[in-house]
Amino acid sequence: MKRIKKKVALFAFVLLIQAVLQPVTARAGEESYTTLTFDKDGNLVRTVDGYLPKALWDKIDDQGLNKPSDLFITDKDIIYIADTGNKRVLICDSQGNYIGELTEGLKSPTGVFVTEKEEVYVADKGAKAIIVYTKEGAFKKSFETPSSPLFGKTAKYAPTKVVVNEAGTVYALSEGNGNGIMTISDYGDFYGYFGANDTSISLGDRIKRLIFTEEQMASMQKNVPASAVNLDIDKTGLIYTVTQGENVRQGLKKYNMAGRNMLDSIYTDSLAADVAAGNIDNIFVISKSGYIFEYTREGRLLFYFSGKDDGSKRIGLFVNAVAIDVDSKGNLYVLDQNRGDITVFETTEYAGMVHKALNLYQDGLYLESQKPWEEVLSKNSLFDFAYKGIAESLYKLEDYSGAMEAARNGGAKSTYSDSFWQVRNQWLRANMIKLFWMILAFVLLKKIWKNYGDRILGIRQLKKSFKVFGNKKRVKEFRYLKYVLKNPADAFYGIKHEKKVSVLAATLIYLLIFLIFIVNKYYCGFLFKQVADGYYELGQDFVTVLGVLLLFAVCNNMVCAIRNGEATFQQSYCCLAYCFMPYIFLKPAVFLLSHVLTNNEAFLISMLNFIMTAGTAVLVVVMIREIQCYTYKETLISIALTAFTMLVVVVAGIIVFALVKQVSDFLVAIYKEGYYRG
Amino acid sequence: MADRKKKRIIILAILCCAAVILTVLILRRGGREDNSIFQAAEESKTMHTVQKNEKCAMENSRFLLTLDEQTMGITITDKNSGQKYSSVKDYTEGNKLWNGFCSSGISLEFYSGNSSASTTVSVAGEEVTKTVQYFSDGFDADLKFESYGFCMQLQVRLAEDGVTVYVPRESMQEGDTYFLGAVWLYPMMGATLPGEKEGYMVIPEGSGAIIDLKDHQKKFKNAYSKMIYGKNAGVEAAAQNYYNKPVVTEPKEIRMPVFGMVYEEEKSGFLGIVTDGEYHADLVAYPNGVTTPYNWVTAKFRIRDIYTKQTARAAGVPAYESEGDFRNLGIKYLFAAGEDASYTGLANAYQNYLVQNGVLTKQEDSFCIKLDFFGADSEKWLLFQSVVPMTTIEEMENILEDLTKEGITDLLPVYTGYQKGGATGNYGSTKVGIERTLGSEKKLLDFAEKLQEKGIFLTLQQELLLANGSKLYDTTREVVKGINQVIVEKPTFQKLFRSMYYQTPARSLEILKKLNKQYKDTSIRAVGFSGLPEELYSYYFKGTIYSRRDCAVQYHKILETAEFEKIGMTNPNAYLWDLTKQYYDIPMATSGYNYIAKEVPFLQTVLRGYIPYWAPYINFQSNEKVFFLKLLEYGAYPSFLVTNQSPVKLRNTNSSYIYTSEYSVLKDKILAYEKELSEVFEQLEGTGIQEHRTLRENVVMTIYKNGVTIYINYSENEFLYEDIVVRPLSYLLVK
Repeated sequence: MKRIKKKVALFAFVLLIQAVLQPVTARAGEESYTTLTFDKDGNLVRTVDGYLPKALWDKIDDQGLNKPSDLFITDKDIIYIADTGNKRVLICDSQGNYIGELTEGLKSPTGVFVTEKEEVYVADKGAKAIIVYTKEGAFKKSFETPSSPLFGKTAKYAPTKVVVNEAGTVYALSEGNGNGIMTISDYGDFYGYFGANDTSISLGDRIKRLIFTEEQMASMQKNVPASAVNLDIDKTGLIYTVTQGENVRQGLKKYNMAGRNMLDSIYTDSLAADVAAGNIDNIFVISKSGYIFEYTREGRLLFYFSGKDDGSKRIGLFVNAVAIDVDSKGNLYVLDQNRGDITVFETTEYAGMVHKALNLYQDGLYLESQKPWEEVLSKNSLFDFAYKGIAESLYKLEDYSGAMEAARNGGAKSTYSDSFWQVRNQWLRANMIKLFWMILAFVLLKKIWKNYGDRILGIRQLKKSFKVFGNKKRVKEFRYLKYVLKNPADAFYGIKHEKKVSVLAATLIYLLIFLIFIVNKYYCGFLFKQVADGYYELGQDFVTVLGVLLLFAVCNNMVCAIRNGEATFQQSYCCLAYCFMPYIFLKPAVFLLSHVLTNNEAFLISMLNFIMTAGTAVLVVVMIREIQCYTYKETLISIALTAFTMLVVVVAGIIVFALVKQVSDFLVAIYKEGYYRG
Repeated sequence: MADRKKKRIIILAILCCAAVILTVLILRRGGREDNSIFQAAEESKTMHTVQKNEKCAMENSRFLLTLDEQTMGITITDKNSGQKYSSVKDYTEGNKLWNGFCSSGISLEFYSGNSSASTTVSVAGEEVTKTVQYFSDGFDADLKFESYGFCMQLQVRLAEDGVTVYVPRESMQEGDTYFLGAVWLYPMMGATLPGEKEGYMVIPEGSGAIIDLKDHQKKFKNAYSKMIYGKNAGVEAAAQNYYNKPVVTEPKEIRMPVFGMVYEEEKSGFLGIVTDGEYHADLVAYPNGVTTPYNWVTAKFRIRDIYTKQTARAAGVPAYESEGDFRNLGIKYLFAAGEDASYTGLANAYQNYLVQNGVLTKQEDSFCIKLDFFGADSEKWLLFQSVVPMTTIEEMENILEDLTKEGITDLLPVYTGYQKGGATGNYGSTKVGIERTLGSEKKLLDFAEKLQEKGIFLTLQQELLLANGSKLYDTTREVVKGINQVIVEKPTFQKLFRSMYYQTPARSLEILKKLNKQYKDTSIRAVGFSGLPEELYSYYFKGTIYSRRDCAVQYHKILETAEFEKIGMTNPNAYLWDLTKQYYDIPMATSGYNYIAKEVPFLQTVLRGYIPYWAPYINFQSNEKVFFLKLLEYGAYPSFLVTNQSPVKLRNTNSSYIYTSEYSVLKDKILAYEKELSEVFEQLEGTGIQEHRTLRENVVMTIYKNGVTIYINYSENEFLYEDIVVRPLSYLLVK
């Protein structure tokens, strides 16, 4: 930046200034909303604003909008607005200057699309037609209700939104038609429906379907899929739709030519109102609640911002946002139906960086994308997606430990696994000899310990004290776990009749189980960890692990007591603890392995887990059969009944809790009312 | 004997003390009375009952004041500019309410019965008995609204620089059926019709904003209406709390009780200063087309608030307060003419007013980059909370050393979140010592001493208001309850500590006293306060309801007790400016309402040259280049939030909003800012803003009082005028 020092005669200048006093639109920070993005663990976190409101057009020159429903921006940045209430399509430039309007044949235009040839397609649900205008604005043709039997006799034709592909095929949505997107050829032939949403059937409905008669079925409310509310098409002809509804699993979909959705489950608002394809294959969604989403082409959320206006008309917030589109510079234009105005958002420097990096990354230019990603991180250390890009880049550069760290920060498990494999490989190669010697030394030492130990005084004494320690009652009780492995039935018999273990020992074992569970849950290897780093929910764990175990012991004892079982509660409590012998021995092994294995060897851990679970289950069955003196059939029945009892107890608990809360709320309310009125 | 003598002496001394205290008290009370404008009153000329349409004129050397006794409207003629400012409009096109409102000098809002909806009644068109007493420089008017039982005395006086309008507390009365809700004093003062005059209204929204007077063709549906000194948390319900959606940020608040009107063509205008009763008043500005065709701006004095009367734990009914907040009400209008008739002129007029009243005094002002070192915060660890240390004392020392090595010494280091438990983990705790994972108390003092030798003062940042909602409190004494006796909560929109309480003034004082004691006679001589300086609320405490004025007075008293040389405050309200040595986090924008034509540095113009101010953190600016230029435009010093560790570690804390702060990342930026800005700002230390103008769309100019002019070009095109060339997204300094 240049800096000049000089004297200037300001007088004339100031006069000039006054003549050109105009509003300033440059804004910096302190926006009316915060912007969020996902971190690697799927939590929404703060990020630098990607878009800032630049202008609010209350009117297009002197033209007001009346309940507008759609807007479309051409490649040349000409804006077409479906001004529904005024029965016209209004045309303006990207500065908000009025250019012209289309009115011929329009009754209630709700959707507008302009092709590359600048032909304007208007979906008019009032006129029940899609009307096409030439570049010059003259009426060209209109698509009326299709006569094809494919369309369906009862299907409604009231086009609300329309897009057209390069070949001139028209894709349109119709109000009250849940069959999907209507596809109509350039000549008006109806091709069929495309990309219908599926319905979800509740359990209740499933049962009803099984038992209801046809008449009863007919009287039921029809389970019609929620139809898409809006659609867009990108340059490659892929079609995007948004669907509203709390139960809609996928609010945003991206269809390929075959009509298959290419996006996995996407986080959107249940009131998504419009979708727009951006310039770098990014996707924008606006919801009626005023939230704007920007996704990558894979559907990863980049920016989530804006919100509901409380009526004070702060720029950047909305009362009822209905349409969004992007111009060639990446600016967003959002239409608010209730207010009848358009808000223009500008990309920030930061969003520019993100888009640049993303563009390179998506094209597979990982190395080239590293620098831009690092730049992004310098503005926002929490933007984990950038670490993903950096991890890929470092992996290519063979900086595996760096890639590992970046992958862990970015939550990229597969890149982490690959890098870890390489790191481990390098380590093994470097330390193979050492490792070999260490194993040899260990084997030798063990031999010496066993064969010659008694001859050396120190070891002899150590062995002796081990023996003394091993014969202590509590330790013996723990060592009894080993016996369960050898002969389960006999072991449980021993606990029941010979009182081999005490209640204290069993309780300690339960605590040990809990401890192993906690350590494994929060400190196992990154690849096998199910919870986010730094996330702890110990209270909940305590209830789930020990609560469930205890509930099982109690319920099982109750069930068995009625069903002529022979064990006391103390006996089943103690025996149940010893059933978890496989867990106590195998889980620590799993824990250790989780730190040294990669995804390639993950099957080992699955296998161990399976053995552990199956072993425990078998032991429980054997235990109940043994101590209650049941047959296997009786045992299985009692386990099933126990499960049912547990369910009943939980439900009853919830009901009691709710009732107590109601009563206490009621008492508090009475007290407060008396207090305030008195 | 000796003992008795001693006793006598002691008793005598006590008596003397008591006498002195009593005299002081009496004198002080007398002093307060002096402040009222009674002094100006001269002998009465006439006493008469009102006749229809009588207009009486009073004047001084500069102004001519006429009163229309029918409507109680006044017209002020500025003899200097010849401009006439009328306070009533002959409006007949609206409904009865608005016709009366626009055509009257005084309007009242009141409540009755069980309804929480207010009704407006105006002097014109109502049965009001008026008794007017004239003086050479004004008049006293006793008004009695016969049908409603409201009485008040209106006192209007001319002064050399303007006019004061005043309603003394004692004169306000109400009956037992109708209860006063709000008072409007000359709301239509200087109001214009669309296209009648070119110019704008000035509102102190955020940094300052102007609303154009031109014809808006009924484009706007909303008027501007906000409480002076921010909204009242003791009355208004807290916002809905969530953390997994974008948050609509709190709108900017009003920090000073002023409003203005400027007619550009006539080169005239006025500044309204709410001198009395401002703690419980709204600033209201209506652009033309909203309800009436007039542009008008004024203050509305609230007497009663609508609050939610609790009937059950989570339910309530809206009700008006049973006791009204009766107090002196007053507005002073300062009239401007010629070059002073602009928003910068009005800001400078307000600055003068504050200087004359001893509120603004010249504080030490030298360019410094403010570095807020973030100490630590708490996160959840298994069943407990653990502290995440982000910047230890040693690390802070290293960072500062590193910067000094680079040749930077104009630094203002602030240590924030250094207390036990870290930033939000400490909120509500009365423990003021340092978190032990960050270092020892001795280390801190040694470090501060070392810095002092280099001429750098280490400032400790202390939150005095918010209390962590996860801790236990004595709810009768320690946390604030709203006037409906429900604990005031503030959502954090964070996952860990979902909401914060407010600490009572008593507890804030306790913390401050501990802080005083902790650092008495040590090397820590500077402190920064947050929370308390920007909040004001009315509250319930042990059977009494305290008003916002009480709260303001208490806060002033609390902060007076701070025994530190330098006191920085985060966004303080105007009543604390006399205690503020440094102003942190100054708003650089407005809330972005659509009727705002332009954001202007009004607050900055008022403060510059007296209190140095720092902008919000550069860390979180999405358009850094634009923000950099804005610092130059508004004359604001930069500040950064710095940590030694990566902010990724704060992810599970309540400070998870920090997404960039690591020193290694920010270092180059800090160096660059220092280099660029120090050259400019060193020429502007202690200088005020003379003039601020928009030259072209996205090109502005700020002229400082020492003659330095900065041109700032926000646009993407070069700005050319004669031999001035400002490159795109750049600036030019001319001496």
